[in-house]
Parts: sequence; structure tokens; C-alpha cells
Amino acid sequence: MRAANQSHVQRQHVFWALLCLVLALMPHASRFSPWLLVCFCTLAAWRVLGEVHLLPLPTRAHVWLWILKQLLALAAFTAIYISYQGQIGRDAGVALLTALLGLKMLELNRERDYYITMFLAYFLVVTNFFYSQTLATAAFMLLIVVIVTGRLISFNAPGSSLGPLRSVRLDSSYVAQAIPLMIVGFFLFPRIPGPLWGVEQASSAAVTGLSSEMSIGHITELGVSDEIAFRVAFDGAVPRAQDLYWRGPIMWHTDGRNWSAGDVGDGPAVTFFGEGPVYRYSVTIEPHYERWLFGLDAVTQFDGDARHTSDGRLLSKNRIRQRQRYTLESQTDFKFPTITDSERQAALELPTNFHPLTHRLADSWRATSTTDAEIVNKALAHFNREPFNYTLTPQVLRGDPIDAFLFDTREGFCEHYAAAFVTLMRAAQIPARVVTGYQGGEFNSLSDYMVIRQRDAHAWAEVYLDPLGWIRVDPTGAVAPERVSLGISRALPQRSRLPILGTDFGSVHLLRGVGDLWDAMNYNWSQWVLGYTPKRQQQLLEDLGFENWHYANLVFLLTTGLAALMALIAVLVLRSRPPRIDPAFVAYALFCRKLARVGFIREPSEGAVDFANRVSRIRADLAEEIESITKLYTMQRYAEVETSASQLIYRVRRFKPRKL
Amino acid sequence: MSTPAAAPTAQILITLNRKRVYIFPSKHGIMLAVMVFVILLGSVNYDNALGYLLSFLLFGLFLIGVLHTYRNLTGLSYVAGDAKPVFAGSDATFKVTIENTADWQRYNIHLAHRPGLSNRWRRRRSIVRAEIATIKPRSIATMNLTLAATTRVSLHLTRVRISSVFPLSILRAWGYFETPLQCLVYPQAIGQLAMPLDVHAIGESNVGVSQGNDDFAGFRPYQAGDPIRTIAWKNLAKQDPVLVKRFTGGGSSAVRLRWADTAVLGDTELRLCQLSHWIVEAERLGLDYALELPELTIDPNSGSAHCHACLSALALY
Repeated sequence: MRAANQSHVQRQHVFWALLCLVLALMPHASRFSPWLLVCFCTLAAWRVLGEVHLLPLPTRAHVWLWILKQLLALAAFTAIYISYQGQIGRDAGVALLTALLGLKMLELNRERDYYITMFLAYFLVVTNFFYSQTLATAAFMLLIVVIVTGRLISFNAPGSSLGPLRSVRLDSSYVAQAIPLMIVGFFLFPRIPGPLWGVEQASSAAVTGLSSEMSIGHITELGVSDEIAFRVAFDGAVPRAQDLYWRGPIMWHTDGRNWSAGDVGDGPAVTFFGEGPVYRYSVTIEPHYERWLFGLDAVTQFDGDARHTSDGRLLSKNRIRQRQRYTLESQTDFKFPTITDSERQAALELPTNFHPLTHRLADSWRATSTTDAEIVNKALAHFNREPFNYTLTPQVLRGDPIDAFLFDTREGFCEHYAAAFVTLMRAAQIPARVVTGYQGGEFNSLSDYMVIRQRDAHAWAEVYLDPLGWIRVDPTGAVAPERVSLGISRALPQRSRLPILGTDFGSVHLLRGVGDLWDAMNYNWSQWVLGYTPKRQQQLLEDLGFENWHYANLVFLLTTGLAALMALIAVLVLRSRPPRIDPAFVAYALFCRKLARVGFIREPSEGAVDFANRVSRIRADLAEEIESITKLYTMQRYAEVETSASQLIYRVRRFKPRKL
Repeated sequence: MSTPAAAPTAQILITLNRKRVYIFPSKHGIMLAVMVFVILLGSVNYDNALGYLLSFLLFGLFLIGVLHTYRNLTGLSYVAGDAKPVFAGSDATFKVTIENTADWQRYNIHLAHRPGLSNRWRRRRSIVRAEIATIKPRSIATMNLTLAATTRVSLHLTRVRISSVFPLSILRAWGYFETPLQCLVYPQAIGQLAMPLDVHAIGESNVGVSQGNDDFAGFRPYQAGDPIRTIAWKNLAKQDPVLVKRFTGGGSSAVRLRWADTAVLGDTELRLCQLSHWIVEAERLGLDYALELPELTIDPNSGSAHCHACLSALALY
């Protein structure tokens, strides 16, 4: 028992609150500047030492320490302002919150402070979501909510009246009951599209994936990454492996060494003339902080805020800052006849006085050929016939990279071949461009969708042949056809196979199964949680039988759903269980029966102690036994602490009074 | 309401049920609600799926909290109560016994005195201390509720608010017990007048004289107003506390504490306080004393029952 009003928070609760804060901040640890981390830890340590009276805390009793604390606060805010250049963004906000919490730890004295701290621990979890929204983050959120809620429950059962075991049970059942409500709220709360106020650009996010520039060697880094670029769920037929070209940025310009996209192909949409089967599919794309949307060549239908460019790319209106889902239609047999003058010019451009050997080779082909198509075939035949090697770890190209590759090292991977091929074509006056993107994809063994990883990044070429239009030419296929038909992990020699989760050969089947399961979970997570847009909500509503998506319908569904769940949980929670018979009571009744057999009958109004005294006075031989049993019984029944009845039961069983 | 200091009865007077339990977010609950709203707003703006999840999880905890807070309070019964009489100006402690008939434990049960809305503020200030208790399954708990007894007569504990913020302190459930409890408040035992030990004027019946000059009967501490001649000068010289010699005479030793003797004080309350003081003194000294009020006379006697009877008479005057 304790006094009700404004008591000081007990030491154990202070420690727990500190622990909760530290736990909630943990995912941020790697994102903070080290000084902030040191600052926070120092403040936490100060509080802990103060709590065990090894250091004074900055109360008004210690004016100098109090002033020191104020100065510390000022210093922290200034440091944050300077290190984030005065921008109140995501990172600065989290840093500021951390500094405030560090200072708050020093004045966690009253009940109110305790609650503020614990609620802020809930809030800290949110800051994490700006950086990561994976399943693991969700699990972490749940963990923090369970811990913080558990501590709040303990805090609200003062004294030791709530044992740790019961506390955990209560806590987990409490959170478990809230989860169905969470699910209903999540799906039925009316989703409003678009931001309510300005959202700043995520600038410091790490970028993986393709880029708008290509310098030889870039795709190698992607080539070893198992990170998922996007997932594709086909609605119906699946294209053949050799048709799985996912179009990305297109490289028009080159300085002989580096390739870049520029804005040549940014013109308005093209018309593809699709033939053959139509593939319908939805793509769930991972954030890459650019605007490209990947689609199977060639996309004929798309939805949402996207547009087609004149070189056939699909661009999102906004940067892809979080996982997104879009639906496309493609036809892998297509004609792409459009070319503008500026495009033709850019597609023939080569740096002057570069690649002399390449120019000589191209000129010789031009001299002996009558059509452009013949030159293309000659080039492919050249790659095939000459000893070119496909490897992810080529030698460094010195001097003129294209000449060195074509005539000296003769080993490389897709971008070497694509760049060399396009250079050859341009040298032979055939318009050509490098297309980057992904090639291939892998079906998840547990679920019906395809995963495209960063290591599936690929570069190929397109040449413009009159009158056919743009034709895809994959020179890598001429060297290593299995790269195109089987995917990258089979195209490589044994020793340079990819890290474990990327491989699919024998010994790691189990690991692959686990990996697939994890990925399947992630896929559903992104489908149902991250990709749950207003549009999907509308679809859900239609599936539930509501013709029109209307806020009123949603509000109606939401309240009905919540009320129904609450009623159900109320029945479960408030249900009165049949009274459990106290084992101590049963044991004592047996004890009384045994005494009754030897002639001592307990009066209805007689208390246990009185009865024991009465019997003991007459039967001194039993007195000791009776006294200890009675003591155990009264402790069981009336003491504050909960003990096991086993000792009592044992003693009563052994109690064998004999008649005198 | 009329029975003073109701004797504990086994009869259950009131049981909290659905109609008697009220629930409203507490101060902390409102704080959390604001925070959840901010999270939700942020989630809408940044289209953050996990933000939505967390805000609805916390919202769910809030809703579930209603059930659990209610469950912690419902089914509790007011069983009995008791309060020992106190003097005005001190604290009256009401012992309130609450029974938990259910098979789950009740945590953080808090009692408070909440009479009607009219003079709530004044009464709220009068709460000195309230205990927080845990009530085990199928058991009773006696909780102390301490109020300041400011004025004489009696202190009524008309309405007891029983409340709890368990489990998260974000919601407060409460209910009221209309209790018949009252605590008798004696007038404050203060006064400057000397006890009327000198009794010659009263006569010598066996109920009268409490002090004569005949036989030495011991010492007692000096009080303002004691006749100088009764002071034990010898003892004083030995630097003992100032004592007064006591003598018994007339075969009987009873003081008569009379309303009339306090006339010099004028004000009724002051006179009652003075009488109260005398009674306490007489009881402490182990004297027999009688009380004479205008319409009531209590025969001389001593002991706690007699003391209570006399003080009650003053309290209810």
C-alpha cells in the first residue's frame, strides 16, 4: 500500500523506464552521430549513478549541477542545429527527440514524468518507421509495445502484488487482445491519398540499384547484391526466361569511358506495336529513390501516376520512396519504330579521337556489308567466335577501355559487352543505345511470384534498323547465352558463385526453403501492409459487397467491426469462471476431518487458530503438528504473499492423529 | 444515515455493476490519446503503413483498457465500515471493508470521499490520506480513508468513491458507495480554565465532592488556576515539576464538570471545548467525574466507556 498522491517513482521503475528508452532507441544507434550517442549514454549513466546515490542529480538543491544540465541542453541543441545545418528534417527531428529524452531521464521523478517517458518510448518506435518498414521493424515495434505496456501494468499494481509471471501473462494477453482491433482499424480506417502537408525529400537514404550513369564496373557491385529490386506476380501466363527483360534507364551519351542517360529520351510517350500474348502482372517495387518503374519489355498498358517516355521507359510521377505496387500489361513481341532527329543524333554520337581500333574494325565491316543488319550479325558473330569470356571479375581496363576490352582483355560482363557493342554500331553509323535494367527473375518456391534481385541487373543494346525500328540486341547472349536463358547464378563458373541465399544448387536446399519462406512472408507483408493504398482499400470494400467507396461506408464498417470485436473480447474477458476451489481449503478440510475422527469437531463459528488452541490444550502430543499446519493454512489464506499450498497438503497428509 | 458509526454487518450493501461503474480517460490517457492522434496524422501524411499499425495498436490498447479497467472494479462490494470517534481538529480514519467475490485479483483500488457536487471542493480538501489496495480473489480488504475532522458533532462519509486506473493508468473507472458511515467528532479538548477541583460550594453528597482537604491522596501536575496552597512546595524546591497535592475528603472523590462553571467563556463552542478538556484530564488522572449539561446529567464514573459517553454528550450538544 502506498499514498495515492504524487509519490516519487520507485527506483526499479526508473531503471525500467531508462531501459525502455534505450531499447526503443537501439535501431537508431547506427544512424546517430557518435557524439549524440555518447551524450545519451552519459545522461543515462548519470541517472543510474544518481539513483544509487553515487552521484548527485541536478535538482535545485544542487544549483551548479542544475545549471550544468541547462548548459548541456543548450549545447546539445546547438550541436544538433549545426550538424544538421538547421534543417528540421527526419534525422534532425530524431536527434532532437533523443537529446530531449536524455535530459528528461534526469528529471524522471514524479508519476507524470514516468508516464511521459513511457509514452515517448512508444513514440520513439515511430521514428524508426521513417527509415525502415520491414517485417523485422514490425516485430521490433511489437516487442517494444509489449515491454512498455508490461512496465506500465507493473507500475499500476503497486507493491509486489503482481508477480512477474502474472504480469507477463496479463501484459501479453492485453496486447494480444488489442491486435485484432489493430487489424480492423488498419484495413477499415478511411485511407486518404496524398500527403496532408509537404514531405521533404529523403536525401540521406542509402541508394542501391541502377543509376542514371554507367561507368564500367558499376554493375559488378549490384551483381553480388542479393537485395530485392522488385517482385512480380503474373496474372495468368508467364513469359519465357529469355524474354524477361525489365527495362530501366537508357544510356545515350558516352565520353568513351562513362555512359549517362541525359534527357534525350525524355520526350512524350511512344507507341509500341505489340504482338503475341499479353501478359498481365503486378510489380511491387522496393524504394530506390529514383523515378523509374520497371516493366517487361514492352509495356503496353499501365496504371497510376506514371508516364511513358519516348525511349520506352516508364517513369513514376514521384520518386519511389517506399515500397509500391503497380499493375502492367506487356507484350514481349513488339515493334518500336519511333525515333526523333535528336535521338538519332544522340544514338550516333561518339567522342572524337577515341577508340581507333574499334573504329577500324567497324569501318572494315561497313565496307564489306550491304545492310545494317549484316553489320549487327557480324558483330555478334565476332563476340561469339573470338575468345571472349563472361566473368564478373574482369581485369582492369587500362587506356581506352573499349579498345582494351575488344582487342586485349576480352573478358567482362554485360555492361562491357553492351558498351563495346554500341560503340561498334555507332562507329559503323548505326544508331544504337545501351539499355540498363534487369534480366531474368526467380520464382519463389512457396508462392506464385517472381523475385528480381539486384544481381539480376543487366545491360543490353538496342540498334535502330530501318524500317524495323529499335531492335534489342544482347551481345552478352552471344558470349554466354546461359546468362540470358538461365539467369546470372548459373551463368558464372563454379568458383564465383553468389552468396548462399542467391544460389540454388544442391547442398543448400533447406536454407533456400527458409529463405523462400521469409521472402514469401515479406511479399505478403508488402502486398497487404505496405502496399495497402486507398485503391486497395476500395477493392477490399468492393469485395465485401459495397458498390461505392464512400467514407460513410468505411466508418460504418469500422465501427461495426470494432464494436463486434469489443463485444467478443468483453465476453472472453468478463466471463466469470466457476470458482476454483482453493487447494489450501481442501487440505484444511481434510485436517479437520482427521481431527473429528479423534473426537475434536470444529465449531462452525470457531476460527482456525481458536480451534488449534482448543485441541492443543487437550492433546499436547499433537500440539506441535497442529500448530504448524494451522500456521501454514492461515498463511495460505490470509497472507499477502502468494505461496504454494504443497507444503500444507504434504503436512496434512502426513498428519495421523491417534485416539487416546 | 441515522445510525451513528454503524456496526459492521455481514450484509452486502452495494455491489458495483455495469450501471454503477463509470469510465473516462484519465489525464495520462488524454496525453496518450493526443500522442496516438499525432502518430495517426503523421502516418496519413507520410503514408506510413507501420505508423498506421502502431497507432491502431495503441488505440486497441485503449479500447481493451476499457474492459480491463471495468473488470478490475466491477463486482466489488461495500461490506462494512467503521470509524472510531475523534476530537475535532484531528484526523478521522474510516475503515471501509470491500469484498471481492470474483476469482480474479483487483489491483490499485483507491477510495476517496466524494459527497455531492455542491460542496465538492471543500470536501475534497478534507481528504488527508487514502490507501491503495490490492484485493485478492474471493477475499475482503479493509482500507483506511482518513479525513480531517474539523468541526464537532459528526463527520459523515456519505458517498465513497471507489476507483482504479489499473492496468495502464490511461482510463479511470469509478463507482460510488452510499455508506451510512459517520464518525463522532468530540469537541476539541482545549481550555484555559482550571478544573473545578474545589467543591465546597456543592455540598457533600456522595456524588458531589471530588476533592477535599482532609486526606492526602497523592500529587498531580500543576494546572493554571490551581490554588496556591495546594502546590507541593517541597517538591518544587527539589526542582521536580510543579506538582499539586491532592486531598480526598467527604468519603467520595468525584469531580463535577458543570456547564455552569464554564459560563465565563461565553461562547457555546468554547464552553464545550473546555468541558471536553476537563473530561480528558479527569480521565487521564483517573478521577471519577460527572458531567452536568443543561438538559443532561451523567453520573460520576470513570473508564473509557464513561469517557465516551460524556464526550458524545458534548459532541451532540
